[in-house]
Amino acid sequence: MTGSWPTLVKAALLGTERTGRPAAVGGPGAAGALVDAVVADPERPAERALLASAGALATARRAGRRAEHPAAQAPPPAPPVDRPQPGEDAARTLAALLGGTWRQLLPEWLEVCAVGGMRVPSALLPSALDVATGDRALRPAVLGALGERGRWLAGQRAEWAWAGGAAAGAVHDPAAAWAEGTAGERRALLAAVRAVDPALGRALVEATWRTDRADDRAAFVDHLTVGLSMDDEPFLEERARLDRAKDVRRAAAAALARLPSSRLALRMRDRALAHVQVGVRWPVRLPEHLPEDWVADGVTPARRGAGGERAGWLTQVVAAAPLDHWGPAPGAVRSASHADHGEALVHGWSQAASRQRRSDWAVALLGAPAPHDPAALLRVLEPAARADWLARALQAMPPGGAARLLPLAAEVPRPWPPALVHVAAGRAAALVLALPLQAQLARPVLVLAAERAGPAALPRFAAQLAQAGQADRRLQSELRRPLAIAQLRVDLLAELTPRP
Amino acid sequence: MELDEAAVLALAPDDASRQAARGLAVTGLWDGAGHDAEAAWGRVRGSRREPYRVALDLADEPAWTCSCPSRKQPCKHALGLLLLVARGRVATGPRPPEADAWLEDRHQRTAKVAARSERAHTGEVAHPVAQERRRARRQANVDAGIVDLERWLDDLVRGGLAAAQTRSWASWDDAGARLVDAQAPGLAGRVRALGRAAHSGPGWPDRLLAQMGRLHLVLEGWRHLADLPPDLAAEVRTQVGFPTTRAEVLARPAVRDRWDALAAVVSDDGVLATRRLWLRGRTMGGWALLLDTGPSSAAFATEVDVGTTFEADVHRYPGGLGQRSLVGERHGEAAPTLNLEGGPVADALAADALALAASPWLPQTPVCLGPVVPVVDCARWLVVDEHGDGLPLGVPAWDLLALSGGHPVVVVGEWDGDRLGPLACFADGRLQALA
Repeated sequence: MTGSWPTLVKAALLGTERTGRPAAVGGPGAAGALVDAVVADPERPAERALLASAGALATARRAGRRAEHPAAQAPPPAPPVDRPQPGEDAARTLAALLGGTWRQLLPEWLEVCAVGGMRVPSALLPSALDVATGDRALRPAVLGALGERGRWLAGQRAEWAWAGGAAAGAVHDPAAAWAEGTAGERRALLAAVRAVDPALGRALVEATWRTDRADDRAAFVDHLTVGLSMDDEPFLEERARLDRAKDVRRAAAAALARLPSSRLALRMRDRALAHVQVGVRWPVRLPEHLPEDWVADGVTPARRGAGGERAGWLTQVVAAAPLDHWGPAPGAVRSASHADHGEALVHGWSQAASRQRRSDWAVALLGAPAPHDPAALLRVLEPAARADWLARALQAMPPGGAARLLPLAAEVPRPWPPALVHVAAGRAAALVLALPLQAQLARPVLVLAAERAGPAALPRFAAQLAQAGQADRRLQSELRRPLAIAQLRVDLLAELTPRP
Repeated sequence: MELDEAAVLALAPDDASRQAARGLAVTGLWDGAGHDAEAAWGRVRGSRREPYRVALDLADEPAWTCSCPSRKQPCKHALGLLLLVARGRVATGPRPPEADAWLEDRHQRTAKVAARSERAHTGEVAHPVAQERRRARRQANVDAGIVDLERWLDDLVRGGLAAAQTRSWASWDDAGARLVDAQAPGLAGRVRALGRAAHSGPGWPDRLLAQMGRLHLVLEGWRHLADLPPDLAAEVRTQVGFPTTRAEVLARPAVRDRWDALAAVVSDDGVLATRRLWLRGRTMGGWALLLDTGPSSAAFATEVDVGTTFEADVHRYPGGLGQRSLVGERHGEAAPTLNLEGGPVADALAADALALAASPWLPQTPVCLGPVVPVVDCARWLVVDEHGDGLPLGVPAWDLLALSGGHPVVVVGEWDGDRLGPLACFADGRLQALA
């Protein structure tokens, strides 16, 4: 009798205006006879006859519905739960953070949860995986708090493969993936492989070097800066630096400049020492024309530094040379600040300090009167040293001068020590009140302090924000958002702390 | 009343409000927030220049007022403050005059309403003549609404469902709204469900036609009301949404049992909010539906919490064939539901057939299946029991998969003959709602 239902659906789709009165559709049996009687009843217009038979047939079909027997098997069940879930308060907060409110606090929730030996509650695993699928930056934090159940779940859906047990981090056959992948897949693969096995990554690049396109080769050389070491030097020096494509040569020179013992860095050292005299006044003698061998090592004619084109060559040479030949950093930076070509030198040293990760030089250069790219220099330091440096620098600066330093707060990751929270927030609040024009610079720092204050500083900071808002009506609206964030974090940390 | 966070969030008209309220439930955003035994108050900054003033009545049923322009009830500000109160993050303090005035005014109004509803609840007839007149007027209203609905259905069938599917959402909602005006909320809900069926993806013509056919059966039932046996006639009235006073229902025989409050489904389209809350008796295994309809979900009764078990008398609506019921006298306190047993798929299908035999108009029947595992078969989701019998879910249920971990669990849902809508899952020792 179900065979007649499709006929009825077809008639309904087209409409009785076109199909007229439905034919006898009841089929065999008592129910069928009943339906046919309904259709045949001349009292009923065509529409009502169709609806009445649909009602009767639908009810009969539903009452006779049988279970389905899927061909597929259930997936192998998840391994036993390895970690407890946090309490309901914490779960509700996570749901809110995943929903988009205060998304910036999501990494902290996940980290604190993982450190506490707990995991994302089962019910929220799908949203956590979805959110991190869309936002790569969140993946490490989510991975840390998935637990066995989360990894199992991720293995059930292709979109979540990045988090699925075996698939995470490890590729079954990198050589095959390298040979067959698209350009984007190969770049991602190279970055992942270099992070764990740099030699294997280099071997992959060399294997297909002859046949790869120039823009791929340049991108691969850029990716070799992940896990870069002197083991990579021969390939970069002897093949990539001599490549026929300009972009590849430039990428190779930039990579080699990060290795102070590379042959390129040593050539740059010789050039630098030949043209700059180390000393108090730093006399400089530059060639009239850009030498061919400088170009071969990646010095570009077009780049103009301070003091004209030739000073630009000097900056590039110094930026690629090892820093050890210039004497102790503080003295060199101090005296060069007054020299004729001092700006070109300081600029070059700044780049070299970033490339070679030299914290002694970075600290010295940050202390210069007008440092080049201070954010990059600050990033050379370890997080704790960054916080320490910035706190001292702000402390030493008169309140009005803090505006230049405050944006550097963005480079200091969570957790901020109490000293930095105190001085950064204090200076920012003072700026907001005193110099409305600079409030745009200071306002984000208050929010950052609330987002990043470490557990040692947070409760007191939240209380101070509340008090300051009460005391000064102008500050009250400025402090509303930082205060909300600080209090949310106080709650978040308390919710994730198991009660004794 | 005792406020807890879940109860507050249940008041939210929609998910967006719930999200927004969580973001506002931060003490730092509030000025002058305080509470006493009966009320709470506070100011919070919104998009306007002046902060919004919120006051809450905490006495029995929570009530609120807020100076914001939002039409949602309760607004996110009121919900945010309620959340703070529920979390115990608002200090006690003296009530400001403004909050006091609102509360005073409210008490006077509720006293009047209470007197009126007291009469309704006790079934005491204040003016028999007036009441009879009201009843006749309502009957006429419903009759007119049904004639209109029949004509509307005829038009759909004449033009064809293929053409009907291209109609806007609003046209289905308008038809539903007209039935609310005609005082037939039961039919209004079904008409809006037609709109959802028309946009329910592959297989929609089958679902739409089946629902239209079943709706037509209700209308035929209404037309032959006088010829039907009393029970069946009463069931038709219940399906139409004809009002039955609380007292009438509570006067009917009770089923005393320990009831598990298993799941709630809330829908709110801005005109009409509906909540179906499903109870199942532990000893007798019977189901009861607590149905709430109103202009917004805020007005829903809060007497039963999902995920709890309680002993009570439950009274079925007249007819007694359907599921709709009221909770009468309670015996003791509610406690969290600590265990739950399900049944095989075959039993659930047999129960559905029996329920249809008693009341062929039922849009869906509740099921409690277990142990079952979620299975994905060529992108189709099913739950499958120990015997290999499965019911299709219609949509992916990743949260069910996450909660079960692929292990057998007990699943509560609504079965409409075509798809199982999963509502809750018993896992990790407690009942957890599914999105």
